[in-house]
Amino acid sequence: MTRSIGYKGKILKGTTNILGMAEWNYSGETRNTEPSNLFNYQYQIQTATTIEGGEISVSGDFLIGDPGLALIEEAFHLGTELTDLKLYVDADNYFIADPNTVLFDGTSQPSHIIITKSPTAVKQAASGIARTEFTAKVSGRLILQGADTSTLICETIIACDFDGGDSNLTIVGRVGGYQSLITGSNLHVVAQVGKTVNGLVTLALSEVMTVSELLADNKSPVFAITSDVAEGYGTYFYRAGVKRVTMATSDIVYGGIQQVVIE
Amino acid sequence: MQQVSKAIIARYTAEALFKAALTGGLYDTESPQGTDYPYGVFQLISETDEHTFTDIKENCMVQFKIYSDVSDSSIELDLLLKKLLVAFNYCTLTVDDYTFLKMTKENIIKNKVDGIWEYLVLFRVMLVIDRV
Repeated sequence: MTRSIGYKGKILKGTTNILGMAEWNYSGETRNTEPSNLFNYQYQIQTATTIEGGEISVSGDFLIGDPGLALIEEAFHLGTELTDLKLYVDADNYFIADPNTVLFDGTSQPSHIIITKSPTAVKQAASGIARTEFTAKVSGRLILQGADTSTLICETIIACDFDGGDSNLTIVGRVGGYQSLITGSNLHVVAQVGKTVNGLVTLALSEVMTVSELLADNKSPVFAITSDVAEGYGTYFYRAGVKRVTMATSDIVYGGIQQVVIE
Repeated sequence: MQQVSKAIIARYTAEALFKAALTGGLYDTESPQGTDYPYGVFQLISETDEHTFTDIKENCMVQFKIYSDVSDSSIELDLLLKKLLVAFNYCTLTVDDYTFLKMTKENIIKNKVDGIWEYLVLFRVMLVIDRV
């Protein structure tokens, strides 16, 4: 693990550096809940519903004629769904809209970012220099690319109903594609399960896939991991994903969970 | 910062009115022993960085001290102060390696010690240099 040094960061729109920026902030995702009120139940029950993408805010010096700021302003006016805005935490690692956010039904769609406040927001003071800022809203989620070796690079969540008793849980997923995967790279498939009322309980499921396994399966390998699940009733949420283990910072991997089988 | 000192000396040399009035000369940090009045000294008091992701802004605080030994009145020093401000307040410096942003007066303090009049004039010099 390494700490990320601020001055090494930057903000790119595609390959264009947005000059003069001094600070960015991503508020993170929030889980929406739906309240239920039951007879003879003292506490309001919250049920997890959708996840809402966070807000991005960026501020820095206002540089007249900066092509990067012009691209942001253009995206604001057009309402463009940006998929290439990169928030660097250091020289190599950046947050970007997840290009392959997996849905409940196993299909996927790209997340995107919409500029909600134009960088025409400028302030100037006689004693200072001009500053600007812009904000954006994430639809979907951001993922960390070029990241630390243990970063979760894709995941999905599936809800299943249990009627009690011991069960075997099998999670089946697929690595949907990758770019420039180097020799020696591994993917790490992970899963967690938790009952909604009692909170999340980690279930240690994992499988490591080597680069040779990936290459042997037509560049789109299926993984399957199975484990016993303790007795339970009601709705459980299964969270599974793919972790980068020993990959080059330039490697990009997409994937997700296709199926959960309970026997 | 050597570049700022060099730029101030160059500005002083080019400002004929201020230079002519300051007959004892202007010196970096310390004047020679026995320098004739009136004279001046400037000094880089502090230099702080402000980072963006693509460049570094340098905030330099430069203090000028000007002295006069006309002890019955500060008129000589007051006139020197006017010329100093004309020469340096809101001026444009040419600083090696950096893009110059501004030079502005921050404050003025007036003293009289042992019959010698003194003005302490603090300037902010702001520069920027690319990191890309």
